[in-house]
Amino acid sequence: MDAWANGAYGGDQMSALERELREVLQREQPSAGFDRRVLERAALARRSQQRQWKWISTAVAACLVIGLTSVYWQRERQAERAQEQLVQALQITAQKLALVERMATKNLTGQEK
Amino acid sequence: MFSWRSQAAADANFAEIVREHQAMVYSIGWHLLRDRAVAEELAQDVFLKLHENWNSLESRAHAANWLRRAMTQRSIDYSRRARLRPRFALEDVPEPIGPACDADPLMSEHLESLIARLPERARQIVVLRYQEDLEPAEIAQLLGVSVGAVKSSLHRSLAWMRGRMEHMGVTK
Repeated sequence: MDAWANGAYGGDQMSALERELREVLQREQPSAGFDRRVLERAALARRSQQRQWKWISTAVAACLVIGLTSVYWQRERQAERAQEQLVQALQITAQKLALVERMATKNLTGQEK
Repeated sequence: MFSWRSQAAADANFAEIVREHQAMVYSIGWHLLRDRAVAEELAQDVFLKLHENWNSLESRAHAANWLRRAMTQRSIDYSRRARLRPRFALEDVPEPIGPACDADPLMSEHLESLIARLPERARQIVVLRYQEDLEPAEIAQLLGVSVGAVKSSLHRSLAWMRGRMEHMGVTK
C-alpha cells in the first residue's frame, strides 16, 4: 500500500503532528467587510474600464470624422483645381482659335486684293 | 454558468464566489506570508483578476482552482519581490473573525513559528497540504514540480518539525 495513503512518516506521533498542522493551518476569514471592499473595487474597475472605452470610442470617432473631412476637402480642392485648369485650357484654346481666325481672315483679304 | 447575460446576474455570481472562497484565498496568503494586511491586499487583487477573467471560467470548481493557483502564485511573487521575512506582530493586526483554534496553544504557537521558518517552497507545500487538503499530485501540478519532490519535501518538513518539537519538549 502507498506509504502516503497509509499515513506513514512516523506512525502515531507523526499523525498527531499532521492533525495539529491541520488545526494550525485552518482557514481563517479576512477582516469584516472584505467581500464588500472587493465588490466595490470590482465595480470601480468596471466603471473605469467603461469610461476608458467611452474615451477610446470617442477618440476613434473623432479621428474618423477628421480623416473623412480632410479627404473630402482634399477631393474638393482637386476638383476645383481641375476645373480651373479646364477653364484656363478652354481660354487658351479660344485665344488660339481667335488668332487663327484673324490670321485666316487677313490672308483671305490679302489674296482678294 | 458564468454568463454575462445580464450585468446584475454576473455581479451576483461574482459576489457569491467572493463570499464562498474569501477564507481560502486569504488564508493561503496569511499562512505563506504571515502578514494579514498583505494577505488581504493580495486576496483582493486576486479576486479582481478573477473578475477581469470572468468570461474564461467554466465552472465553480474551475473558479476555486483558479483562485487557489493565483493566490499561491501571487504570494510566491510577493515573497520573492519583498524578500519577506516572517513577522509575528500579531497584536498589531485585527483579530480574525474565523473559528477559534481548539488546539494546544503552546504547541500551536511553536508549530506556527516552525512553519514560518520552513524554506519558501516547503512552506507552500505544507500550507497546500494541510490548509487546502490537497493531494501531493495536486500540489505538484499547482506548483509545477514532480510528485516525488512534493512527497520528499513534505517528509523532510514533517521530520524537521517533529525533531524541533521534540527538542523543545512540546510534543503531545
